Amino acid sequence: VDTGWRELYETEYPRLLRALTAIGGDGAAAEDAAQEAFVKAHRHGLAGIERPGAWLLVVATRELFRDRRRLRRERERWAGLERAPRGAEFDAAGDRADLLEALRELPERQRGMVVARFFYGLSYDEIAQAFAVKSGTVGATIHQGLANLRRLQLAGQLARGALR
Amino acid sequence: MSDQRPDDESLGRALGRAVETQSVRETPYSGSRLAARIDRPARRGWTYALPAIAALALFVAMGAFFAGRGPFGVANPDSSASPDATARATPDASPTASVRPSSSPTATPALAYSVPAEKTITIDGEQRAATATTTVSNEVVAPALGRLAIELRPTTPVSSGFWSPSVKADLLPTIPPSESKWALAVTLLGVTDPRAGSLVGTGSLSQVEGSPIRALRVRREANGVTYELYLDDARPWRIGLQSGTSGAMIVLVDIGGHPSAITTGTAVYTPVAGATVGRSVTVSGLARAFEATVSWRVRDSAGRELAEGFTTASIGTSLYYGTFELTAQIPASVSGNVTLDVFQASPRDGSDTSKVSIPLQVR
Repeated sequence: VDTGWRELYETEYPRLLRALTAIGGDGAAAEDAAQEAFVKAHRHGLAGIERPGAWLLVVATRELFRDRRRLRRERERWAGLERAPRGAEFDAAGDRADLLEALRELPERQRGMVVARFFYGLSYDEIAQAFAVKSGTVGATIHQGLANLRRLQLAGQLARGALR
Repeated sequence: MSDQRPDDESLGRALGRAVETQSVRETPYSGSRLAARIDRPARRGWTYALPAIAALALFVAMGAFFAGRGPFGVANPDSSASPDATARATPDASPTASVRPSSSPTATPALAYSVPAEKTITIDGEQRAATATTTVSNEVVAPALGRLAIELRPTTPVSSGFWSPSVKADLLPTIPPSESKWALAVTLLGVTDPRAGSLVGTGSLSQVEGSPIRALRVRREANGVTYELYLDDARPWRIGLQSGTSGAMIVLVDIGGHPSAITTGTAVYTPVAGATVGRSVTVSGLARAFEATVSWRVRDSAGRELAEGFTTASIGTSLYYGTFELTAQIPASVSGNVTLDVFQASPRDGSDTSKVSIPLQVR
């Protein structure tokens, strides 16, 4: 009975975990959201899910942001009291790190859709269906996302250059 | 499908590669919550038996730890130092539908909380027959603090006075899938709760906000009652005790609190760091202090002492925390930034221990 589920897990989990790690930047939260998404899928039943990959991504992203929003609100309560400086990480993969860093600066919706488009390789129509928005909205959101990404990545490169 | 400009496309591809090449730690299917959920009915016996075995090992380890020196080296005459307490604790660790003991001695570090949570507290008090009534509050006592107050009213009237209930408390990760990640199980021996068997609170968002308590389950035991507090994460927690009216005792289970206002032996709930205060400041919290003595001082920005004093917590030299409330008077000549220190003088050399420092602004 559960071979289908195992297969789904083994196909979808690795990329889902990577997508969520990229979107949220926190390995533990990504793992948690990914696990939760599979449990939700099981509760929901596979019959009612047309594209499991996209479905899992959307559900898990929502889960990830729900948790992050709660934590952020809690942290903001203490903002200014203890602001730990974020240690910059410099490595050979600096550009990739910049990109991922920049991704996490994007609004939540843009992050999800950019990853759906370029990591999952979903079409605008598929993204529109999964995120329950119009196809035109997807195009505009991804366009804005990429523009922001380019700007932020550039800023990151400049900052790194200045610090070297 | 390809509606982007070429440079958009290449940026997107670079991003895709960046996502792909991140280092992640994957959980195999066998360790996933999905597998746990699917396999559960078939393996029920094992799912619960294994944690029980692990629990046994944990309790033996904790017993050895406690018997060795007592937590935090505080002298506690009626702590779990007796081997009896360890032996008695073991049967309680038998199959609990939803909690799984961890063999890891340190709790998962929770975001922004630096004081590690203690895993187990066993207090060998009286097993007096009593009826419990409970109150759960989130963020009422202090920001980011959840509190379960259990009032124990002895069934046979006693002249008012202090008595120590018998308590065992464990913080354990829950077995996935579960609505929460951690459960704090607090068992009171000899106590009955008319609501036993119920789940209180549904974990609505308003309840979760700012505090980790999602839900409370009250479970009847052979000789007592267990309160299971379902938590989002493993934050510092403590068990306090204060006396109520006509022989009643109140057991306080506090979870969380401002990370910079909690140390091993002191938790300051008010005032909150950064608050603007008048010349008369009410300081309240919980302390586990030698002879219940809680000291305070107010310093100016240069570190000069402006005022000082001490108070007595509701209970001292015990595994329980005692509650305290004091009024700190700040001299009229002072205004601007000051620091309030709440600490305990070391019985050995009088130095500050378990110190909490709270920056304040005097109006």
